[in-house]
Amino acid sequence: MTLSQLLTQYGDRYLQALFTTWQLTFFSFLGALAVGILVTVFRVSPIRPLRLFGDFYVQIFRNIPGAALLILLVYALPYLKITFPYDACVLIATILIPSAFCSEHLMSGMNTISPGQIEAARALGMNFFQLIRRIVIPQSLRSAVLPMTNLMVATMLTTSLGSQVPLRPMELTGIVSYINTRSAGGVMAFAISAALYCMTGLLIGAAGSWLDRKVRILR
Amino acid sequence: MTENNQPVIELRQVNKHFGDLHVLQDISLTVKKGEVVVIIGPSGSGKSTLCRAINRLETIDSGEILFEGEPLPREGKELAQMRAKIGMVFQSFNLFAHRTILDNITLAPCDVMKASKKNARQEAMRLLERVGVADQAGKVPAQLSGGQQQRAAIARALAMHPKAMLFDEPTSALDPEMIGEVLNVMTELAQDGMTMLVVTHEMNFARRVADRVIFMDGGRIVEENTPEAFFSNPKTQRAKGFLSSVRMQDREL
Repeated sequence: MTLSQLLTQYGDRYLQALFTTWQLTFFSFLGALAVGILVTVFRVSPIRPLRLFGDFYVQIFRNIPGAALLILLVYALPYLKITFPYDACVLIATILIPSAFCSEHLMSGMNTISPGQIEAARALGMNFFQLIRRIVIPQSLRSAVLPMTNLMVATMLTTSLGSQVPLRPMELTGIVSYINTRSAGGVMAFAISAALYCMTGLLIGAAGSWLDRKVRILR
Repeated sequence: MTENNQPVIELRQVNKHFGDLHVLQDISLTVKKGEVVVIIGPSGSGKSTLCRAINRLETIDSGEILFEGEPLPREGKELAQMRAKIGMVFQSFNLFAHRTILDNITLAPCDVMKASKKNARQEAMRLLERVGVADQAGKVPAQLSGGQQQRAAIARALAMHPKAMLFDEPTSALDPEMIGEVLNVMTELAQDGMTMLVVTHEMNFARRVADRVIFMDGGRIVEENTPEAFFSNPKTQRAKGFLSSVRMQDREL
């Protein structure tokens, strides 16, 4: 099929898929950020079991293939009498894996904070949570905008896991299989999705650079 | 008044090691209310460690540190509360890089003392006025000179209404022309009756402002005297040597 044939026949489905991918990316990234921050707080907490748990968490989810995690969530959990809907499974997988990377980015962002600032906060009588909330996390986040931008692009690509389960509405990778099982979309069907992924990635990249310039900490 | 003789900071037989280095050796020291004690000595003599141990930024191996008669808590909420009463000024200012000067000063009063935002801001502006950097309130630390940053850092410590102030080499990271502005603020603070422990290399400041000078070397308090007596007539050989080398440098300048 030619580009124009594909677009006339499946154009609105592609748009819907693009929107689904955006939605998944947005919520996954937000979830990854929240979980990543929490895990990072664990990893620097004064309580050793929490630190160990945090490190363990990151090692697990940084090293598990997305497809394997999704298979576990979809096919293994029901044996434990835990059954999530397909879209929840995809969302959980695309939150857990990026959250591990998010934590790593925050840890390296933390290294940009001079130890003296931590001492100053302590000397002013701040407790661990005040220190984390006011000094450590804000500075780590603001120093990690560019790696977080990369992470958001990676999260977007990870949402293609959604093509492996019957997701409705479909996302950008799923739509290609859908089209190719019905008509001979061929490479062109892939190319359209690829272009849409690429465009989204560029948008995220531009937004990230803008945000980085805006919140970068003067030193 | 008897109140003026109350010890605010008290160290009893304090010892600390960094590995093999015995950095604090049987340190006993009392700073009374309203007193200004200046600690001088060559680098590596343990004077910074001593200063930092007083609000437990350094732990100690043995001995006792008391603040207002109470032993320093080891950790947790009690330690934080105690630290809030002790102002600390660092060599490298240590302002919070991501917040404005005004926020730097209001952060701890709002979070730790639960002051209202409005009151904290008013108080902060008053303090910034006092140290002469009120016009920089909206900038972030990196936009200020070292002297301005250090004066803001003093204001930040004062915003907690501390019972005593610790100064850990407050002018050592400053360009010469900025040292004076920071020392002036410290002198005014001393004149207002603040209890102060100052680790410094500024001999003129020690001579003018200190009630007592403590000379440390090799982890020990070697000499302790009034500034007049110490500077005009040091008793120990080590103090004599230190002072003459400092004076030599001054002459070379």
